Amino acid sequence: MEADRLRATIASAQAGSAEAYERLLDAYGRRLYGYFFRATGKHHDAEDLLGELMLRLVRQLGKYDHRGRFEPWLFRIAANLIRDRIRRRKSKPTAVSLSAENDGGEALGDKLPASHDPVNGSLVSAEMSKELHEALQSLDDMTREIILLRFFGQMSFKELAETFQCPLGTVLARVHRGLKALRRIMAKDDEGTSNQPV
Amino acid sequence: MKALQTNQYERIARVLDGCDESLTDSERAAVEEIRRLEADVCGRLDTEVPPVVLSRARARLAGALFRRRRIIRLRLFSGVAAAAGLLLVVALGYWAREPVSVPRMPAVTKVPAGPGAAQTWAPDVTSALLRTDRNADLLMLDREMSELETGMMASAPDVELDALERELQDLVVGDGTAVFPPGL
Repeated sequence: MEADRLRATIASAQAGSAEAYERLLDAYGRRLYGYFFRATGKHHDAEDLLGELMLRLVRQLGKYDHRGRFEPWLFRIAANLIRDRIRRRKSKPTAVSLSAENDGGEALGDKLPASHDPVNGSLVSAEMSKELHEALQSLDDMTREIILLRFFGQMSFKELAETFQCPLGTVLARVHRGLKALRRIMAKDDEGTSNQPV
Repeated sequence: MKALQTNQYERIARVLDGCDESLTDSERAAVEEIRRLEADVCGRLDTEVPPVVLSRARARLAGALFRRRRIIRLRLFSGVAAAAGLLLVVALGYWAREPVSVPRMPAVTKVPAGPGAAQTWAPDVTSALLRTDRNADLLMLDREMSELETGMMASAPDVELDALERELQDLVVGDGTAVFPPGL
């Protein structure tokens, strides 16, 4: 979205225009969803986080003062949402074993439909690149977050340094190392895929 | 490629952010490498968004906006109600402090002297006194009370006349040996 148009849209949204909020969702929804998906590796988490971000946007847009760029501001909220969720997951694990049997000898896994996908089965399976997710998970948290914010949030290295409160050189060094590691893992995966018998 | 130092990374970062910096050959090579890596790796991060996700997000957004509007209306209403309440309290306070129209005083000019005079205060005058606390009213009442007291007080000629009357009665109803006062 152009700077002037974005400024006008934000001003309208701040005045309470539902249409303006929808325009912001149209402009940034895809990138935000991609960011959430690559950070969590799950489509339903990404969808939930996107909805939560919209709620935060409604609550916090009034505080946005047009001095800085909007995208870093928006993606900082998104990064905080992910951090909150990871923290909550760590403090309150909710994993339930699908093979654990109840009193009647039935496992929870048996009760679930054969294929359960909250979004869209075919699309998710096509998109769900497990290798890419694992490659991202192999990076340390900060490097992964910086790379995702750099790509999805289109943040400059200066903005990233401000967001993570670390020197500019350190941010780029992390990005450089992280990208090299990702390419290495991806190259291995690509080789493995191409060598598979058809 | 030789490992880069932090200050070299800083210069490279500034160049990647669009600033002009003079770079060494190895730094320029690093810039090219990072650009290639970003294009290669980050291009694969992109993901398609199922349309249903955006429509659900839109619905949540609409719900959040509706709730927000309701909260704003509620706050506005509360503000108006509070202002109206305050106005009411002020009006009631003002009304309570308004000077009460004091009922007409009973005729005080011809109050007979004596113990019965105290009963000339009408009950509504007393209640008026209790209901008002304004200085002006108090002053006015004080002045009227003084006038009343003055009116009730027997004057010196009255006292003399009373004494003469008593002596005259004593003389009329008394024995014949009583002596008339001089002048009679």
